Amino acid sequence: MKRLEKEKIVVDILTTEYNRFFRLAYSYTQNEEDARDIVQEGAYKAILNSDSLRKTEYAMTWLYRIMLNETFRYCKKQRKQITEELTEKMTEQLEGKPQDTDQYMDLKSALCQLEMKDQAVVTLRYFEDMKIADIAKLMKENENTIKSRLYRSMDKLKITLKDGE
Amino acid sequence: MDRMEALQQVREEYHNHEMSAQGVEQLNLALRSAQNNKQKNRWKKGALRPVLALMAATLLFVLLPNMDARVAYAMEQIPGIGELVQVVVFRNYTYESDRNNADVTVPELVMAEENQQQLEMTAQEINQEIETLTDQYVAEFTKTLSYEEGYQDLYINHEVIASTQQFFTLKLIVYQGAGSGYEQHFFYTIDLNSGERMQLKDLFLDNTDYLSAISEDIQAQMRQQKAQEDIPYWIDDPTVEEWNFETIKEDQTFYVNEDNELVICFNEGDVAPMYVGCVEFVINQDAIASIRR
Repeated sequence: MKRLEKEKIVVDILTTEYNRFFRLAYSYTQNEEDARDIVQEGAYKAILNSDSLRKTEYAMTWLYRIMLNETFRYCKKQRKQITEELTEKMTEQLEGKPQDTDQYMDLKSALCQLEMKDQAVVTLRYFEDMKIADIAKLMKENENTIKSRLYRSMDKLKITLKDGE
Repeated sequence: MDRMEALQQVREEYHNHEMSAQGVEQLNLALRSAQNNKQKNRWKKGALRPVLALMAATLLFVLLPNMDARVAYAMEQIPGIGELVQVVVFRNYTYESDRNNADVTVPELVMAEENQQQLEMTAQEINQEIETLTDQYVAEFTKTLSYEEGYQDLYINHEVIASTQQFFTLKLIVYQGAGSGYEQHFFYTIDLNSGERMQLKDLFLDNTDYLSAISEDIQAQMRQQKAQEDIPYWIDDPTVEEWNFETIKEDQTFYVNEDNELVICFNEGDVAPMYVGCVEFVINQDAIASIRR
């Protein structure tokens, strides 16, 4: 595959699928500006390094990996602060709300408190409907590790999985 | 609401977030700038490819101090530049991992002819400066490698931007990325008639106020670009007065282009916010014609 072709594929995905990466980043940052910066930085790196992409069909996985790395990097700097802010914000919102909202807020906050890689696995599996095998590839871990991340997280989120999941 | 329904609701909320129009616009700018930067470096990297291919390992520092100069000519990147000064690359440093990327080429100036003592000395002085500078960046990079967290990029490249009968200018481009990127340009200019390093003052007649003449022209250009293209130069800006551009420095970086025009260069963050990048101003010939040598 020619280098320019690779670059074109990467650019094409970035210009059409940017919202995928944006919402992934947003689920960690909980604010538009930081999520935008993550995607921008990731996109820039992806283009500069597009020569190192080996196969076209891996382009999406490869981009996810770059974006996730960017997101994690951001989290290491910010996470603690964000989680605290978020929990505070949610507690405020929760006061005086009916029981129903309670479940939703509680789950949302529990999700944010997961270890960042676990959060990614849950997000990609349940919100983006990605296959375990694909998640394993993009996180460079084996499938069993991903599964145990998923089960452990479901436990923490107090969600009982139905058969086959 | 049970837990599964709650998950469904969080999922819906997750999909509700989309990048704003402004965000998309910025992203497209980032894409274009990445493509441009890569394009600029591509052919140079291409010329080096056979050499790089031999270096299969991930971490390499190649020093070929005893290589015969004639062999070096074979590796020359830019054929036919100037008659007196040529650029060769003896040393490369590349590193690639998930979190760290470096691609450094260290240019060296060599003389095509012998018996050019002054020129030879100047070239060696420049080579020494470039070596010290690039060594510093590489040392910084390798030091950061030992940290377990963090991402970083280091790209050093160069181009010959002007090689006329009178001048030879080499531009060294240093890009450091760690989170946001930082690009710096360094210029090395030789006056080929005297064989000495050229300084800004050498371009002007003695006892002339060339600094003010140049600065005024730059201010005029900044005001114009600010008004027409909305480039946020720090000029006439009451918010932080001490940042406003007043004058160039005596050792301001500059070069003379192929059309014999003076070009003044600023690094990122010198005269405008960092994101504007490195900026250059081609000085109006009329503004300095009367005082130029």
